[in-house]
Amino acid sequence: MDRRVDVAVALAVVALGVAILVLTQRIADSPVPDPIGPRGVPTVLGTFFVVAGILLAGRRLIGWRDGDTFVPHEGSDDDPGVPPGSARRALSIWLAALVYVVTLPWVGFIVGTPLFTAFMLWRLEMNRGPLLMIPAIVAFPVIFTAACYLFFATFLGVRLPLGFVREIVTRLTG
Amino acid sequence: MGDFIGPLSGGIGMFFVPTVILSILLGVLWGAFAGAMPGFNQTLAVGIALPLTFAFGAIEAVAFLCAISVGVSYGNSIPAILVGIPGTASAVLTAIDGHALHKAGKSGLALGVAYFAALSGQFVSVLFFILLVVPLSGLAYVFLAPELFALSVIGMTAILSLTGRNVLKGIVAAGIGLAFTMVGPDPIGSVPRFTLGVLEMRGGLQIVPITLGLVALSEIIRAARQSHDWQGVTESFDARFPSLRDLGRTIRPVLGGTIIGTLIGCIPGMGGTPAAAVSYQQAKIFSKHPEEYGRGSIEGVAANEAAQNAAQSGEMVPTLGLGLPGSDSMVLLLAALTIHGLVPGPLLIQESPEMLQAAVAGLLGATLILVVIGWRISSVLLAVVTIDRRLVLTFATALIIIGVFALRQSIFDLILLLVCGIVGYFMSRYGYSTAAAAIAVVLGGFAEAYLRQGLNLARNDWGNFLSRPITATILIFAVALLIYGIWSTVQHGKSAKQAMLEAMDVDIPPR
Repeated sequence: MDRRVDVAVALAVVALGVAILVLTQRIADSPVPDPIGPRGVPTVLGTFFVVAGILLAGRRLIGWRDGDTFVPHEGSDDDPGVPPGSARRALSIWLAALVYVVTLPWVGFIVGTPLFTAFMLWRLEMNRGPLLMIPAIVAFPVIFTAACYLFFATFLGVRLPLGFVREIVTRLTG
Repeated sequence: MGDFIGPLSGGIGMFFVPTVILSILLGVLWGAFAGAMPGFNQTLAVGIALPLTFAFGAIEAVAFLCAISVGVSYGNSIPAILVGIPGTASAVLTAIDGHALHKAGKSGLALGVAYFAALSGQFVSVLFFILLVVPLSGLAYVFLAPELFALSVIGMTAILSLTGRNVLKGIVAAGIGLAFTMVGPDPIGSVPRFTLGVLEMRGGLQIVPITLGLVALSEIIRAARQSHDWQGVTESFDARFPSLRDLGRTIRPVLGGTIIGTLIGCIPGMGGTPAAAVSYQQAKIFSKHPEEYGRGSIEGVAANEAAQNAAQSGEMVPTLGLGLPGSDSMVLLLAALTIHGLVPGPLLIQESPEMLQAAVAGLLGATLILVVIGWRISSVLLAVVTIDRRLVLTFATALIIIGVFALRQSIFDLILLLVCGIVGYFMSRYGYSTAAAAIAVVLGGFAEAYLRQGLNLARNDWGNFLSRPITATILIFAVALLIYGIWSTVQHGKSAKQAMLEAMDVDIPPR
């Protein structure tokens, strides 16, 4: 794994600890007296994050010049024997999912879901396989959205957001 | 004996409740289907189905999720044998021996032995599960707040000490889970904490989107780094069921695997993978044909399958008996209980004995359903093996998002799910155990409440609190586990560095 990202993650832990310690100061006193109080556990946790983050970053920074950029993996690795992973692909899918959920009330489930699933299939390079895969990018999102709408909205009675197509759907379904 | 018969007969009695048996049938079919998809593990299978349980009663939900676990363990042997790709880490040895048999033209033998061993192991281990969990639940009233706090601590330390490669990162991971539980009203005085003025955070964060994000969505994001499909299941093969003589050879490894799987599964943080490895090793030692192991041994397949299936029941022992989830999929089971207003912990079975019966019904019912239809549906599952991995990832992502939305129709929960997903992705890539974080999310809130209530009970004296015999014993055990974790971190660091230097072909100075 890349030790630069490892250090960045460790520093994020330090930042989280600092944020917890700062926000802990804003917690009001409890009306019920107890020796730990509402600030006790957050203070211990925030302090621990700062110390642990510094230790984790420090062990990489010591001897930085002598060491290699890539260090033994401590977490999960990519699947072996297949093309290497792309963090950019994974993060773009995550970002698309965020846009999908944030815009869900306005765009609606019926329009947003096929767009998101088609984007995900495209980013996973579904279009680079046999020719049959190209229609799959269109067919799968449409069939999946229809099946989910039927199951969740009709069968389970979940109120899925319809967004700007609400009037059309309401008119069609009566 | 009545303590044993009660949950068993209660569980069997639930077979006659139409909604329960339907839940078990749906669960086992979904589990077998999901398990047969290469790269689809139990956490994902349970995670996708978890939000749907809001439409169920608590009994149906527990039976449904238990049945999924059984189905996944059965289904994942199929891609392991036919494609050589284990759906879960615990199926790695099945993949080695089973795939070797498949390549030797003995696919039916491998699939049949896996079917026999998986279901036998599962069936017998349910009986062990009841035998082990009933005495634990009998201890429930011995546990007051200090003991419950100690149990929460050991629940969090066990998994990070036994599974992590770096124990400090494991503790940080558990701390991150704990941090999520601090948002909202504090457990004693209801003073608001870390709400940042956000309305949705005033009541605290929901457990389900956090745990699903940390353990399920993070895994999908990791898998989405690579674009590829599984290969190698296109050729035809024979699917004749093995003879009684062949099955007779596997009885001893099946029995050994069942006992080892149940016992190792009981230890939080261990689960199916070490159970399968130990069982495989034990079967090899006592085998008349040890030379076959690793090259296509039916005994090896049997030992591995029996152990990993029995570990499912084993994991249920601390989960239901003490409220300590043994694995990330057990965390999701406890999260499902919270959807229905149940509090995980030692009192669960005492106060809601029907939950134990539901678990027995789910495990036993799913096994019996698979005995009847398992071999027949294997031809359908073979088709599932060939489903494109990219479709599976897209399906899983969208279904988790829609499922979490269905719970409370909250966009905030979806944003929380995605934030936890990306946090979990970086955590798992860089060695911070997402399972430890998820367990802390489930146990953390209770741990703080028990600590503070316990101190009140001990008249605000730490000495009184820590000197209670059961509390002290559990906490000493937790510290011992941490020391073991630190020792294994140091050992792992040394061996990983050595392996990396060897891989880079660097001259290694003699020690």
